Amino acid sequence: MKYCVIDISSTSISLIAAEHDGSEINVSFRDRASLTLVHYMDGRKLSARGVDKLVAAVRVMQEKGRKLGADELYLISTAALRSMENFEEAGKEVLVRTGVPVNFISGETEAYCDYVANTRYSMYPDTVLLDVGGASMEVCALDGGKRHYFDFGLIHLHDKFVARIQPEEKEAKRIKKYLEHRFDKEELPAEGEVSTLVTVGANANALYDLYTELYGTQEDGVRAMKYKKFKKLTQHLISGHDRSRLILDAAPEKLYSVGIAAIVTRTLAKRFGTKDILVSDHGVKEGYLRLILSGELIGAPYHYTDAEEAYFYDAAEETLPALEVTEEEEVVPAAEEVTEVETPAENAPKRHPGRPRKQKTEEELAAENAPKRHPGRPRKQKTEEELAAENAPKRHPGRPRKQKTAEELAAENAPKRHRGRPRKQTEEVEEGGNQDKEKGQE
Amino acid sequence: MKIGILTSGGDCAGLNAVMRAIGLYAYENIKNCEIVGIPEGYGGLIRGESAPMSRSDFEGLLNVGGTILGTRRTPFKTMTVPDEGGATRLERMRTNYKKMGLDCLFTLGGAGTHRTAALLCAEGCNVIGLPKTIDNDIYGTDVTFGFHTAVDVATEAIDRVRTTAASHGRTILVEVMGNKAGWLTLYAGIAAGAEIILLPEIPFNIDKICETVERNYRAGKPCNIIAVAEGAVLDSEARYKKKERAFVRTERGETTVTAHLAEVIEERTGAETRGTVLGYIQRGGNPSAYDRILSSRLGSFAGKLAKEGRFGVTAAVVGREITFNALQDIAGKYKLVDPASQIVRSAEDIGICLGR
Repeated sequence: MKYCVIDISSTSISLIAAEHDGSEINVSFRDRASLTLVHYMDGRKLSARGVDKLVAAVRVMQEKGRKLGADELYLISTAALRSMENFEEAGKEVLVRTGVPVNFISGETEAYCDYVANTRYSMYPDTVLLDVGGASMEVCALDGGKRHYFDFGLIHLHDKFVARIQPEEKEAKRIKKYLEHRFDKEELPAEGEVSTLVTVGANANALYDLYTELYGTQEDGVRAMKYKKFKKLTQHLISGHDRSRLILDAAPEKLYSVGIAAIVTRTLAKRFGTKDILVSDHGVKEGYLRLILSGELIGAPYHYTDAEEAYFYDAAEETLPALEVTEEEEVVPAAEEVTEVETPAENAPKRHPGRPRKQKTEEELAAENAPKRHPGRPRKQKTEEELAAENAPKRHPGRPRKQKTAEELAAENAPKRHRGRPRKQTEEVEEGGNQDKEKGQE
Repeated sequence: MKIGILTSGGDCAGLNAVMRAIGLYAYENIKNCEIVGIPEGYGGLIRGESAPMSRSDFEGLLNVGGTILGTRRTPFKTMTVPDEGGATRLERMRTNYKKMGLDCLFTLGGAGTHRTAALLCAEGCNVIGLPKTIDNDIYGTDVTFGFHTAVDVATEAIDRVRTTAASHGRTILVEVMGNKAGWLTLYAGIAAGAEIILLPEIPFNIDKICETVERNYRAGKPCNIIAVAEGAVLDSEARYKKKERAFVRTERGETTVTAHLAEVIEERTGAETRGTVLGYIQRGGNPSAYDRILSSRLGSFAGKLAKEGRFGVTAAVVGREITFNALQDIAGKYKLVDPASQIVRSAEDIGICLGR
């Protein structure tokens, strides 16, 4: 099965497409787009314009998932939408207009998803995972040690210390002092107690994008940042003359947060004395999918079906902008070519011969074959009269109804038996019918 | 509130009309409002030049083409390069923004202007963008001001070319502006009934073009009009990068494909073929009624955004409404013609060849 997971954060919307072959999850595609919801707020509520932007962004990602041949899609949101006063209404609008339910997950669940997605790093000794998010931060030891959860994140630090968009020198110093105080209070591990620092999340990846923009990637392909160079990057993000251009080119959606994220990461890396900062490209989306597939979490998915191709075509005409191309053109890979494969069921969806087919239950098959309606359009509740009229036998109004004789009517109403089956000669038959009907119902 | 206005990039009809709407809104609705005009786009801001604009300065601008503030192209790539003094243009703009005491800066420009606006915004300036271009390629807005006037101009030009083409039985290629996006060529081509429309988004097959020209003559058409976007590419060129393509064309002494295509059509079909470049007339002239209305609405809405204190955004048209997008969401992105879109399919359905 192919899955997509979309994550809505306060500044971006991102997507992964992954295949699950029963044991492993293999991520085959990633995408991310800027969606700075902060610009569309009216006070603490997401404005109508913001909801429109959110719906449009979800539709674009939803369509990408369809083109990639996904079977199911999960849409998650953490603090970004949750912190808005009208997050439930916003979620409902997304559901009604796209058919995709929004799965709101708590900060703790988010942190657990990060942990689950990154257990592979536990092979390194004394490894600590750092997730710096908009609304919260977490430092957690991968060997099952203590988990430190901070209920403040980059948004709080920005509001508290930064006057404009990016931190200046003095503001950066104040942030650093504040962090050191909070980390001391929380009794975070000190120098020598941590060998490997792994950063996860969108901000960590944005920092990595900026780092590679300046310093390139490592030859061995490992996603790591050298502490000394990272320190220079942090300074650059505070006072460099082209810091804004760098961010707008490499990570525009993190304009408000990446500078502060760099300060947090550097403060911790200095505290731990780590020489390398690893950057994981697995985060909450991968962890969430893993937990869904293992049954540990229950989420509401969106199911792609063949019938939706027409819907998406029309929807794209009406609401999606014309083809968007950035300076470096991004190309969505074509959905996997599907060859004709003989399957037991005539109308079964086509699958790549290499992927084992999940056996569907009777309920799932019945649901698939039931007449589809776009989930966004609520079905009008019919009155009893309407239902009766619908179910009554239809006749063309132009053809006059032949008046039936009494015998014909009686014959119509009598219990029917298949011609081939000899009628059992019983007293009930002679009496004419209701008891036979009852038997037939057994 | 002290407001600065600048117009940057290529000019188009409607710039003055937008400025007029901003000015009138501000003077009508914002208390203690002061407006300064910054000449020659970002160049003026880099130099720290400005001049006060009273309410009367905005009168009589609605139907005037061009921009009274003047405009220049200041490439985005040069914004963060330090100059001899060690400061970058971005730093100079930020400093001058503060020196001028501005509370808000309106930037009227295209995609490049919006990128610089996003930079300024990232450096703490309160910026509101307005989408100006004849190309209609700014991401996030259904239409830009200046586009429809340019369509009217290009359509009329093609209409005029048709009469002379028909008189001579010629095939005439009309080159329309549009390096990256083919909106102007597509709209003008459809409006003028061009037999063939060539867009940058749809690499064309030269055999198909020649075939269409021949077929049209056989069917009794007196002429063929081919609307060619500046940025149209042959399918054989499409795999090359922009610089490689430019190199090959320079070797031929050309910058666009028009002249080469005209030669090939004449060679292969025997039809007398000529090319003409519409050029700068597409930018000039007074704005059409549509653009006057659109400009007035956009300028008024932008004024309202400033009054509300909503900065770091750009006005946009979505459906029938004027709304806004965050600058950083649209900076660096272009809106191109989707080859699978309804308008393209409609054109093909009525027999217009798009070269594929």
